[in-house]
Amino acid sequence: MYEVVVVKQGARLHAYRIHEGGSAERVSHKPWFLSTKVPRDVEEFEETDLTMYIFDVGALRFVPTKPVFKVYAAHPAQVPRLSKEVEKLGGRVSMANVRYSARTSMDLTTDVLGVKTPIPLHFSPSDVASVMEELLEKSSKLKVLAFDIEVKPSKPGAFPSPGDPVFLVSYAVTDLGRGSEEVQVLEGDEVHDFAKVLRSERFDYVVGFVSKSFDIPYLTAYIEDLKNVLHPQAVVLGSRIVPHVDLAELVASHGSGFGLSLSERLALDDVADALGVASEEELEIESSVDRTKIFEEYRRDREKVVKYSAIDSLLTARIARVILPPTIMIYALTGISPSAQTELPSQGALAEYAMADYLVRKHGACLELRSRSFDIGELDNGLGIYRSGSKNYASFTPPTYFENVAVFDFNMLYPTIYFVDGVDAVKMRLCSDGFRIPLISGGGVKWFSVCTEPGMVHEWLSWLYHARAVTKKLKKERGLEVPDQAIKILANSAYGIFSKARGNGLNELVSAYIFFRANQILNVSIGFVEAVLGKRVVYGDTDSLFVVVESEEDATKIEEALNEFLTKRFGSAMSVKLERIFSKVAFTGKKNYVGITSDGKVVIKGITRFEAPQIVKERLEDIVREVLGGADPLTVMKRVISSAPTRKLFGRSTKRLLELYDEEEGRFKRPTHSASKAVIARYLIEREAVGGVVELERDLLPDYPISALYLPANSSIYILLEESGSGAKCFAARVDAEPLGNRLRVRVSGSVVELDRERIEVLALRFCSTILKILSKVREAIVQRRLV
Amino acid sequence: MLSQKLVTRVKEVLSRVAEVYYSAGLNVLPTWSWKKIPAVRKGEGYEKWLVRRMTREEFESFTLARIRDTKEFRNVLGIAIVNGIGGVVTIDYDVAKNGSPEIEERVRRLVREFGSFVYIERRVGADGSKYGVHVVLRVPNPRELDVRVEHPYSGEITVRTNGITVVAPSIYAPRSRISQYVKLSFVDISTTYYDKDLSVLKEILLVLGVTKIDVGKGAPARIGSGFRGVRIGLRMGREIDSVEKALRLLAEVGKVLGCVGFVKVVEGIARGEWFVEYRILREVVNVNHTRSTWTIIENHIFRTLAEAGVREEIVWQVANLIRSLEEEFLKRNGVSDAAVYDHIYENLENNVEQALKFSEHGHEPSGACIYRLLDLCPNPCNSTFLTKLFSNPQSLKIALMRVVNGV
Repeated sequence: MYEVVVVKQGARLHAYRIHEGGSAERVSHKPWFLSTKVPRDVEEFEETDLTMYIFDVGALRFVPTKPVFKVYAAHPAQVPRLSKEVEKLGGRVSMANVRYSARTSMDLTTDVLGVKTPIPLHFSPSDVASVMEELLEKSSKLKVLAFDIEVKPSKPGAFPSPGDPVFLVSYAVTDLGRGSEEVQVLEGDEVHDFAKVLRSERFDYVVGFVSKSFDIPYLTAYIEDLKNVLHPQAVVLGSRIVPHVDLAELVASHGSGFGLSLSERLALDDVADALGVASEEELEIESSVDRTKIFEEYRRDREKVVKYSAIDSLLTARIARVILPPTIMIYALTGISPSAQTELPSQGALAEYAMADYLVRKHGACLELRSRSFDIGELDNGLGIYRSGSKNYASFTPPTYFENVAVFDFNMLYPTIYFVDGVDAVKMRLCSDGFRIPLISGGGVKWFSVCTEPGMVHEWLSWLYHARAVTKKLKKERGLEVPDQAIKILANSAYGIFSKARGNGLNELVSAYIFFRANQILNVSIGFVEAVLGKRVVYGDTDSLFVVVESEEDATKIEEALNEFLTKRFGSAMSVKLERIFSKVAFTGKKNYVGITSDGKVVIKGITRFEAPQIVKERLEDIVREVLGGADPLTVMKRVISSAPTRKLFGRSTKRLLELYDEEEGRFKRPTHSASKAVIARYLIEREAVGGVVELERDLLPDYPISALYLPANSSIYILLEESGSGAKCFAARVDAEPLGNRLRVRVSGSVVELDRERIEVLALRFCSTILKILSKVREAIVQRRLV
Repeated sequence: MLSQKLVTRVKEVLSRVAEVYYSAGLNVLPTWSWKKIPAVRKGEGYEKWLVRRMTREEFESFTLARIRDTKEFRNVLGIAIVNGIGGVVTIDYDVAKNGSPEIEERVRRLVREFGSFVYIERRVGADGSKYGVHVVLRVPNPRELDVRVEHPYSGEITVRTNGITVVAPSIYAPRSRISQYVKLSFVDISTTYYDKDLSVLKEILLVLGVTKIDVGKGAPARIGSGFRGVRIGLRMGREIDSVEKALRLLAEVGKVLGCVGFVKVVEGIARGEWFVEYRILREVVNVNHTRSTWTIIENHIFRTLAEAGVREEIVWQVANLIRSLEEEFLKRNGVSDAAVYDHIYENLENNVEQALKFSEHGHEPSGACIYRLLDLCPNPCNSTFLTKLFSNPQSLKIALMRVVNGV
């Protein structure tokens, strides 16, 4: 088998095991959770042999409890209600927060492409290389269909509604190996043939980008033949079921594992660009089409839009080739299938569910699902490793400029601390002579001394740790990146288990221990480099050190000496790696720096998060390079702006409106940034809902991303409607928004105006004022050369 | 008398700890069980390790070998770290009275609040007696640190930036009264806190009861009385009209005085090479003042030229040459320590000015010849260069005649 999907058919949820070759097996499955008491109106439960470890907040440790009941629910939606009832009865629950799709997948998966699953339960870390290679080989043969649609809105310029005509369907077929893509575009009435396409060939996965909330509902609303075929979770073709994966959702949850920043995870072309799977020509075509007026563009230049649509599905297919193989490996590691991974509430949930499942199967144990009682963080009046700023050490007052700075990164610092120190959520205990940590509660600080001891949680974390060492070796020696990406995503998610607001096995002592031990190791390393090696550490951030060096050879010597010290002191697992050498680097604050590496690469940290015209964001590396070379930032910026196409002088904001809603706090936040206001304005302009008051309800918001091109002015925002010969037609919007719990009361007022090019350039320059201010600081530091 | 089994066990643990500490950049010396001093044979010296880092070979052949030796060095049951090397400083808290509740509370608080990240140890007797406390930190440029404290009533507190400190798990057993240094903290010395801004050091002193702390950077020594100088002021000195001649003069003075190390340094300068390591020698000079190896040697050079009556501009030319060679030395060795740069751009000039005024300004005490400490002279003499020069003013005349008249 290679997938488990839960498909909503009518009002019912059906679980399917999907086997290689396309056959599907429907399996009966009920949602369940574990509890120490049985709720009153439960239909089915059973007593288990499991032990639940419940957290004693007074003693700050997990204590074992029996009996433990497995409580079944008729529908996933009942689980929260039943678990609340258990808590009302004074009982404790475990795993009640596990999403049903993940629950089903973990329960029904026995193997992934013939590899026994979950891997940590069946294989030792030393077997990982051969198991992963086998998996990689088998998954490379999986066939994927990537698709994309274009819809003609009922009113020109408005956002389309489900049922509006789909005028283009493009699809690309590829495999997950090194195959090429074949792309087809269906136009006009041909789009109805898409149902035949899905039936005609055997695919193992159907993928899209934002397809769950856009392509699928629009296709099924328009094409009758697809109504009972195309579901958000799968394509149902009689006895054959093809899982559907919305890559945008995978990118959103696993993006950091692929080195994607948050801002790079929303738009298809941004993701493709960041993953390096799009050519310049393709990106140019992608950005040349005004998506809000796609049908008008199609009428004007059919060939261009057809090509655009084909590129969309091509890029989707290529993204699948990068993202799906590690996702399948994560499936084999955790039992959580790719389609279930798209539905996880957070990245931390991946490791949390996998660990909980492992403990139940291997040790007959489960950890209480609880909410955090204490906060963790550095203290303003703390001393030493507890002092505010210890995590981000800086030896300078910004802005400051340095030359020849080597950057050393710790290899997996947090996981290594877990592993080396024997950290275990269940076994961690208070003791008199242990490591001292502060926990914050109600504004006050309480100090605790803790001792670590390896246990079953440590066993799982250690497995991951050892496995990562194996996959790193595979990557280094064989060039196989995918296994390492998979383990890295899972390992990155592991620290979140103990530090999130609510979870199974949540233990504040563990997260505080890891946090402050990391501070300590950073401090000790800085001390060694400065006091023993006689080198100057200018900056340190969590798990990296910036050291002034004489040469590359000097940097290598520091790396060797520091590693000798670290491995002798903390074991062979603790080490640093020379990541890069900056020939020039300027700091404008903690976590804010720009530099050029010795091999000519520009590195920008912090600045990219500020809003700016598209052209400035696109050309930021060139701009920084010029400024580091001594150029005046204002002159450079003016030149960049004056030579850019008008459209590129506007900022681009792509957001889901749901992002404005704080899920943890259960309320809307007031949109303060113009990027958010621009998206709200765009949404209401498309719906012709400007002028009056509109209430956006959380449950009725579309969960697809909305894009707006905008320029902020004093109190209003110019939303680009259309480029004109000498300037642009814009909607000058004033956005007032008032949060009302799960509603956002919004009023967008304004009018359509014509902006000439000169005015746009002035606004664009003003739009980059924050970036300009930072670059001016860089320039100031270079001129003054405060510290060299 | 400790049993052989126990001795073997203690030596095993000491070896392991010594290895960890050496790898962490510290100098570790073996110590006797009956006295808190390094385990050396009669006539052997260890002073060089008070001022420079031990090589791996030295550490293994001296420290490890003596710890492991169960015959001649059977009574080596301790180790000491050298303060100032690898950035370590020790707060030495000698308690006035054993068992005072106030002291015990202070120590408990110390361990409770700092023990997670600062090294703390205490000597504890086999009979349960409790002795002094050591707190070890790493700081930048420890030898330049000058901490003066007003002692509390509960004990005497010294911040040691030089000399040695016996550390856990050493055994100290004078006259069969056995005690052991016991680590009280979570961390050991190799992972103790790097106190860049000295804030933790000050807080610890406050916890120990210090009411007044004066932390500053030590100034070079200026000793009011001492050598008077020969001030020969020979006319012949005016004939030294080039840097080259000045260097030849210096070399000849060294040869006449039999000062091999001084000659080596001067000949190095003449070759365009400066090889003297920059170290602060506070512990062997005067506990209240700091000076560096460079200042001491420069003073030998400039004072000799001044005493010989060499013209000021030539002395300054020699100084400029030395400055450029020192700069090259720093570049070659990748030194980025601000104190060393301060030396080149401030202290060196000051050293010339003081020498030209025949003012005493930084020198090593008798019995601690700088060239011996730096392994530049193998001769077993106790006199310093200036002692020899001032006690043998004729050496200048002879040297001048050799250079000026070619005699």
